[in-house]
Amino acid sequence: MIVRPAALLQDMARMDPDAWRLLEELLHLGPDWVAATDRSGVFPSSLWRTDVACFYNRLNLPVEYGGTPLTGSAVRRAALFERIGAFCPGVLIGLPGPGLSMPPVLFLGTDAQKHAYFGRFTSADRPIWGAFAITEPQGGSDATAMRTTARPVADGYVISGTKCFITNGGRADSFVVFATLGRDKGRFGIRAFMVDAATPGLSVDRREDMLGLRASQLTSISFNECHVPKEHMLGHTGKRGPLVDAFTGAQGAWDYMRPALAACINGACTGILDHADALIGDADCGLARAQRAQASDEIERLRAELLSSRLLALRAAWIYDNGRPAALHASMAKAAASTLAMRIAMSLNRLFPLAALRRGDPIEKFYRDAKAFDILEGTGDMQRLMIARAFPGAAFGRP
Amino acid sequence: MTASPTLPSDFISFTPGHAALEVSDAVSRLCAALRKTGDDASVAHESLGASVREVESLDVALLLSASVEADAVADTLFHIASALASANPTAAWQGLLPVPAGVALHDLPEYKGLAATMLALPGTGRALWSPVPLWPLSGEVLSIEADALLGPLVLSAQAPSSVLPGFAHGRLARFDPPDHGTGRRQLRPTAQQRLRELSTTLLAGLLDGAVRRIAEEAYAYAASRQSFGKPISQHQAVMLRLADIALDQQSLSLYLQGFAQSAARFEPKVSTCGMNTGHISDCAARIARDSLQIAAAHGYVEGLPFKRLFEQIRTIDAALVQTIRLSVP
Repeated sequence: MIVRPAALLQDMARMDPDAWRLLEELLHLGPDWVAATDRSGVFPSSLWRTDVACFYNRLNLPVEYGGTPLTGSAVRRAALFERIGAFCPGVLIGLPGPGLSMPPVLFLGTDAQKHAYFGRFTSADRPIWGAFAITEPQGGSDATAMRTTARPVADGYVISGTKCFITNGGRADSFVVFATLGRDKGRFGIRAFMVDAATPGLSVDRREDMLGLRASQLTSISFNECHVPKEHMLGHTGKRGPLVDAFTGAQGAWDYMRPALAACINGACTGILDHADALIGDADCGLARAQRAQASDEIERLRAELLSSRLLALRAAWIYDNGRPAALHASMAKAAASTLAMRIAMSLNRLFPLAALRRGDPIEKFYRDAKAFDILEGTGDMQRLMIARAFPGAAFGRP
Repeated sequence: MTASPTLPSDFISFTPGHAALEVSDAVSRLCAALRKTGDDASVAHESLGASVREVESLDVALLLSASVEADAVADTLFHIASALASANPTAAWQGLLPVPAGVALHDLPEYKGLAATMLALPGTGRALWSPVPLWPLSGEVLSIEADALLGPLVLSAQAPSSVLPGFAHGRLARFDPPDHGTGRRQLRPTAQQRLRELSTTLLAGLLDGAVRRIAEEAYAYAASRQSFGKPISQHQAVMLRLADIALDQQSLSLYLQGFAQSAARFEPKVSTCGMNTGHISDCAARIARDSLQIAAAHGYVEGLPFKRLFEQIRTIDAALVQTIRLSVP
């Protein structure tokens, strides 16, 4: 298997030219637009022409359920996310569409559930968002500590609890919510539910004032006795049946998304290094000739590290597309990219201190965004613990 | 100011080429045998010499020339070097170092009738031209002469040598003109560039294999060493270090492979001289440092392979960096 990202992007542009044109429109909005989005954390409503909204709604849907072929494989997702990430990672994460709520539905849902959930996105003529709600205030990665409950009732379930750090939670039209049937059942008691944002008892408690990635609107959500029809439990028809380990579905979502997220981070790194190169090339950049040469060397070195990181992400995507276990490689890709992003951010702060002081400057913004990368969708420490456990048996061979 | 190239030729293959797969059986068998022999200080010269001869008997230069498409030679060389170095760095280094010049002699028309940049070392029983990479700018040649395994390599007083760190049987020799008992033959510049490209690829493969080996050793040691009633691989501080070893090893491996594949296709714009030596050296050094640290004092003394691999990695890396520097047009 050969991966040629640039050629792949050209193929993708031919695959869905209308969608590609809309994507290019976004990428040409410019740094002032990005800075404004970073300040406000919202997209201007003027962005959402009907054709634009319809495109982004189906950006991350499976092709067989009406999604765009641009994201029809993990390698394509990686190539595309890298491209958009270079524009602005916060905008990419905040775009409409099902986001991380898609993979659990794809992995756990029945065909009817998939049609119902994905159909919301393909039929809408306005931007709509989906959100993935698993993290709780008391515990992040420890699924067995989950406190949000799903209490069976005659015609469904009643969900109660609080979820936090939900990407796009404030603007979401629907959620995939993870809750336990009983803490004594451990991870095997966890179920995933499709929950409409208009469900009585569901409330947005708080939109977090984030350090960076501000367009992605991290949110806390409460579920106060939210009644959910039995048909909305993913993988279950409501009848008694074999246990469905919903946490496996959550892990599947991370495997699905982490290579693309790593690619998004790598794209952001590429974007900021291009910006740094442009600054160095400007005679008025504030660096003496010797300092410019030194800065160029440092940028070149960071680009070498970025190449390693890009290859890790592309390989993880390629492994995923080949149907092989990708969790380890996805974790490596994400951990490497996020570590590198922070290193780049610190280097650029040192090379361009005045830019680092100007609120909204790309270098100032990147420093804030980069810190998020090592936290969202599993912290770097969690990724490393997973790598240390999985690496010996899986990865000394190639690839 | 233009941005550096991002991907080598915007191309990466995550599986070894067909050519590498075709030779993989023979290489795999040899790797298994070489692992058993080992290359630490306790291994007798004769055994180590036999291992080197085993590598030589693969005749990689001929194999690459006869069985591998021209645009896959460098990639295949990288994978063979990596596999053998992970099994036995000393035997791989010593047995493969002449391969680039050997390939050149076999393959490229402009090499016909020439002897590459080669040395004939004094005091050897073979009295043959020994095709080793030569770094003329520094006047130094990093070489392990095969016959040195059979006894101390005697060099003339004008060509003093020192033991190569990590390779007890290797010598770093300096040959100042005129050659005291040595001979040299020169190549045309384009042929020299190609030779350096292959030498870089070979050294990159050797480095890839050696760092993979020390990473393997670190994971194996951490799984076997008990502390506070459980393997140290279950202590979080150690796990984080192990994970960083894995991240560095995989990052470095993909980076080196990417350039080897570019070199394989003779892509002038993405020569191996575009490799970033800072990234390579730091990655390799971190892997060696952290792996030895896993074994702590047991890694610092003779017995376990860490001490030897720690030095071998530095030596291979130094050779690679020097070759890359000299490859820059």
